[in-house]
Amino acid sequence: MSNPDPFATLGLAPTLDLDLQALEASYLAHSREAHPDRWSDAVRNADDPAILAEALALAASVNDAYRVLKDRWLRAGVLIDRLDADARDATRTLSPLFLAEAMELAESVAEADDDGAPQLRDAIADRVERTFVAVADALREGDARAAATALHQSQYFRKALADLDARCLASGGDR
Amino acid sequence: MAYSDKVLDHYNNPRNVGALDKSAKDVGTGVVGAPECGDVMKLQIQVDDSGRIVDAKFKTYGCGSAIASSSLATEWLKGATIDEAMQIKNTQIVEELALPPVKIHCSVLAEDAIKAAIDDYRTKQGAEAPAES
Repeated sequence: MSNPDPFATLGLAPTLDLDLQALEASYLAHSREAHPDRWSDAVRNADDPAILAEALALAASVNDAYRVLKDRWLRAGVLIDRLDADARDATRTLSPLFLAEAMELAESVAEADDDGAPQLRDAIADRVERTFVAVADALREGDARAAATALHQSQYFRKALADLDARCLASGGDR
Repeated sequence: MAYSDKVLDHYNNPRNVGALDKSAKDVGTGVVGAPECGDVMKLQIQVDDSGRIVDAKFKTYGCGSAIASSSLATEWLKGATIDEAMQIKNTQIVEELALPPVKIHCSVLAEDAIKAAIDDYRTKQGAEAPAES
């Protein structure tokens, strides 16, 4: 299911600051090439089901690589895995201090009223951005564990933001 | 994805939601999280002198399965001894709630929360580190 290296699949240099236009262009080029409509007759009429399966897997891996690389968080995850394949697993358990903070944040989201919501949203969005900077900084320094920890932390902030937006939407907010 | 009736029951009528005094010496608190979804779960136990859990509370911000798993866990914890509580396995929660494979991590979260709460209680009681178990 997971792609060995989505950067390689799309012929792109591995970096967090990916040029999204270059990504788009590369994706289109590669997917044109791998698309079932473009398969040669040799592949299409192959007697060997393995040949078909391989061609199909290639087309799917192009789509999957694009899906992963266009999301900055998933992209960061790929770069962390490239540095140290165990880093994300090894850092799953966050400090009790951080979890207590995440709990408090979830509580404040659940209790936010319409007046307080915009301010809370700004504060959480700021945490999300700062956490992304922490991931990027750690990656730049080659510290896979620190990057993985920050990536895990971001999940709690991103969830808080999504929960808050879902609530505002439900109560007729303008977002 | 369809939730089982038992999950829905716990989700709609969660048992033992709330908080105990986390600074009390006879209260153990465990806060755990699942980084894949950002769910957070707090589970607390109050233990009497004989090592029996007299009260359990939880607060979970997460999906229906995470809420149901922790709600069920507090039901099982109440009246149990610490040793019995240590034996609770996530697979029992999966079975009881008929959780699908994608929601198994919710039950793991609940088991982790039980263990964390017991650890915290034991630390507070001091020295009584678990020799075996």
